[in-house]
Amino acid sequence: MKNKIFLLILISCFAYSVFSQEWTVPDDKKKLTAPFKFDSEHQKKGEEIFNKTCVSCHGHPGQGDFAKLTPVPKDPASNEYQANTDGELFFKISEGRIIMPSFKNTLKAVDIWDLIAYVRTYNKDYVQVFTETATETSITSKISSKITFAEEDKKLKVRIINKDAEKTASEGVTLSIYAKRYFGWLQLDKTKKTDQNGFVSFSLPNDLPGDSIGNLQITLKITDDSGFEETIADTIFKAGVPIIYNNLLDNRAMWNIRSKAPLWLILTYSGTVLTVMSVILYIIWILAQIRKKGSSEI
Amino acid sequence: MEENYKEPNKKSRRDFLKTLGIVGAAGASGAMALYFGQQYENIKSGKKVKLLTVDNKVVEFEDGKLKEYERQTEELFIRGREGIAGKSWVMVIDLAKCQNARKCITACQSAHQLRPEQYHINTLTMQDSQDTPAYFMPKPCMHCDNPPCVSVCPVDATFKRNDGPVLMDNDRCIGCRFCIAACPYSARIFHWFDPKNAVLFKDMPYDLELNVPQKLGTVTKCLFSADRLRKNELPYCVSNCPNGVYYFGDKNEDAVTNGTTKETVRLSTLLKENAAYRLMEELGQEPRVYYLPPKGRKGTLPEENKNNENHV
Amino acid sequence: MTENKIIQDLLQSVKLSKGFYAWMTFLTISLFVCLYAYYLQLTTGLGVTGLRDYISWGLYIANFVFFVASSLVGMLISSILGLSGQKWITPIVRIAEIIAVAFAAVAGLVIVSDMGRPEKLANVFLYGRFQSPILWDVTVVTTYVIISLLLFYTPLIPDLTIAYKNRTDLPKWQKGLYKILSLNWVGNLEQVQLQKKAIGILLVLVIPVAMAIHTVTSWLFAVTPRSGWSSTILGPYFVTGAFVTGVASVIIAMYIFQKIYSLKEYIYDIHFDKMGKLLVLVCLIYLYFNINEFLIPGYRMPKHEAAHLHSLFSGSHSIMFWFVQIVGLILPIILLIFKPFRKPFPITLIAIIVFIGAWFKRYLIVISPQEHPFLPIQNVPENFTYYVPTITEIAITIASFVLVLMIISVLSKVFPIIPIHETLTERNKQNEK
Repeated sequence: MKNKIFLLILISCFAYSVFSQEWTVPDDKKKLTAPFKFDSEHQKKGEEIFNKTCVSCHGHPGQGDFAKLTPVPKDPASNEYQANTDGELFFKISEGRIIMPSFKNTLKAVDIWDLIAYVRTYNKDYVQVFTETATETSITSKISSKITFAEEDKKLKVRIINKDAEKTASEGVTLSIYAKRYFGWLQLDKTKKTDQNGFVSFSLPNDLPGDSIGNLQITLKITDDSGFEETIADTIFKAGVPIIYNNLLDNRAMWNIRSKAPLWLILTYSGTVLTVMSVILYIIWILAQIRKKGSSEI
Repeated sequence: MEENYKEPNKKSRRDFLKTLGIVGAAGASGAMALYFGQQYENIKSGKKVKLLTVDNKVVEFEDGKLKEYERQTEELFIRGREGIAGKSWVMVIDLAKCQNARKCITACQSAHQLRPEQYHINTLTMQDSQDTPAYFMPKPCMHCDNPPCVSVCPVDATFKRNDGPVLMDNDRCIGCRFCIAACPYSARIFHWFDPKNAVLFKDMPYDLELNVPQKLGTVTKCLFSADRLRKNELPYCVSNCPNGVYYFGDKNEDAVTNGTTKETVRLSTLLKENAAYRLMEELGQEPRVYYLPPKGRKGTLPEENKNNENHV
Repeated sequence: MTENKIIQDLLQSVKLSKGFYAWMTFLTISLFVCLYAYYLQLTTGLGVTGLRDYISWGLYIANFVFFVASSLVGMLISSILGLSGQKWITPIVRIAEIIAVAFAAVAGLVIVSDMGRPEKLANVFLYGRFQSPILWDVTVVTTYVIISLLLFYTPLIPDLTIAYKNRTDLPKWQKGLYKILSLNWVGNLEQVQLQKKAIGILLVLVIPVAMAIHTVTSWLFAVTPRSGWSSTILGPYFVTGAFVTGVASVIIAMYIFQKIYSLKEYIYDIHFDKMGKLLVLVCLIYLYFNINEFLIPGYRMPKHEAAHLHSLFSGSHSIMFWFVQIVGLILPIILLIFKPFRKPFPITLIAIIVFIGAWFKRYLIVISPQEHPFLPIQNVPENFTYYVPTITEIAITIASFVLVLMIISVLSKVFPIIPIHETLTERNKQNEK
């Protein structure tokens, strides 16, 4: 027991020194604000998301029933937690750290803002910093894209053009491409930025399975200022290798169904059973003969 | 949480009735439910067929509907036994991330109507040798490609599907427990008593891919959530993990998706870069579950297990 | 002894006496008491047993293995000894066959009592998989019961005619039964030859089937990838172990029949003496296999096997293990080497101990490896980690023994327990010499 306490102290000291280091958020992200005013509707939606996604580690706000993990998941009602700016919270939720998972792929930006709206209800002193700038139209409506695929070198070329009158090239747009998989989207190559001519080139792996003829469903996504992605194009290219699969149940095996048992086994079993049964029948026939050869007059 | 899982069942049951075109409330009882898993009464129109149930009750059916029902059940069975064409499901468990939150277990247990001590997936505290620290290891069924449990089953009650998972048909199971004896991963459990809420779910149609309602005297096991896979959803355990431990996906597509972050990665790369291994490879059962090593082991051995000779 | 005296002597047991009725009533009542336990198991589920998810095979399976083992003696005595020309076995052949029939038939029922859903038994025949050792086991056990019955019945045919002719005091149904079953036996040359042929074929046929029945039973364990079970010598290990059990059970039965049916002039010291020597032989072979089974893994002590072996050598099962090995195997070998211990009474006592030891041996084989799976047993209630049979389970197991006793009692009472025809034939042959 003594050892255990000692160990516990040791672990906590260690954990404190390692994990309690400041979780630094880039300055530009710190200043990020919600694109809408936190009202009861957003708070309610946030509560739903919180109960589904966060409660298992962070516990119920203010009740201290968070999971005993290292680093310790902060209680959203705590001062330490509430000291974060909205931008910091947004960054931390979307990126994650060590055992705090990233929710970038699971939650939409609006969901995260709803979450923040909800946890702020546990801070009486909170006043939302809100600038009416976020209402501007989404970036996808301002640009158009053109995608070409060169099969010989497996390169996917993308050009982004502004939708203004001059159709100027859009420089510095952050783009990623993804291939559709059964449960989600697989990023191919890295996230890249367009050059001054609005061009960007992605190289595709040459061994990625597509469908039965090698078609890949590819999605082009643009990253907005808050780090969230929006789809701007969704096309199909013959960029993969034809998928190869074999039906596990095709071959005879010990573990396969009865009709797919190894042939030698079926033959051995049936052969043995038939042989023994016919010998037994022969014996019964002999017994019948004994009866025939005798007489009922004893 | 529990409510979330019950809802789809109720819904599918309702859909089921709708497709049959049978409107009405419950009527016939007991044994009928055994055969048809559903209770009917008050059929609106059409020619009716009278049937005698095992417990000597006369039940009326609309002509044609009965056949349709049987055919549908049959199709569900065939579908459930064959699996999803062209798929090959695999799971990757990142031991470095497991914190023993046990959300996978509770999600699984409520979906499959299991009691708290009945595990399709169980997180074990492992210690490989005296000097190596303990770590947490979630242990579902390995869905082996050379499954000893399926080999020994006398009646095809447990079976391997084309897409990989080893499933259980508890309507066929005779309860001999040979599969439990044969499984080196202790992944199978038995209903020694009436399953949880047995009375409540008595009349529910049997769903092969979810293996509910569970039945007394049969074996049950992890199914890779075959019902969810068909709906394009990740298994219960995978999607309920708060720590990003699980990846699940199609080996043929060479991609697995993390249940927590929903991030999709290439399976081959993930396995290569993280020194993946499979449990007890030497037995030759060809498991479908890959483990990533428990880097930074976080487990603490429970006191009562410290002297357990199985541990070291 | 005159021929008539022999016939009278050997037929006098064939009478449904008051004592027999009392004994059967006692057995029936015990059976019904025990069957109530089975009723409980049927309605509540296998949860009434001490079995849980990790140790999921227990008393029933151990008892099944034991019954299959005991039934093997029919083959050993009538076939192996019979075909090798041992004349002294004549009076005990039928005892051995009755034991074989009883244990093999009840073994089939014991396995049903272990099923979670006995109502689905038909599935084994409807959907039986060729790959499953259970299908093989069901097949060979059934076949062995049929062959053992034939091997019991065919030599009995002439005796039935003798009994029909010589016992006028029997009830009508019994005489009618004899008449039908005696197949018009008059003992003419053709009949004798046909009977001889049938017995000859059966004696050969029963050897592979009997070997199969216990080898396949051992495969129920050997095919699983579990340490302690997945052993290549499990087949011969089981078969030799079966001979030990079987010989011991025949010795016990011989003693009881000799006493209650007053057969002192037919089963006497020389039979016990020979059976004693036979027991030493089969025990020695079995000991040899035991040494192989435990010494080699014990020498290497591989990780997973070690847990199982430690529990046997010095752990929770050590008392039972060393009792089985020393009192149940080594001590009988040493004692039976000395002639005084092969006298009827002492050898019967020794046989009882061997019999009990053999039963516990099966218990250890079945239960111990399951307590030490490859992965640790965790997060389950305490009672999942060990196995202790419950009263219900024990009662159901007792029921199976009661059933065996009932079958043996009926068969030995309704039919002459010592072959009359063969005894007479052999006596005539000796006289001719």
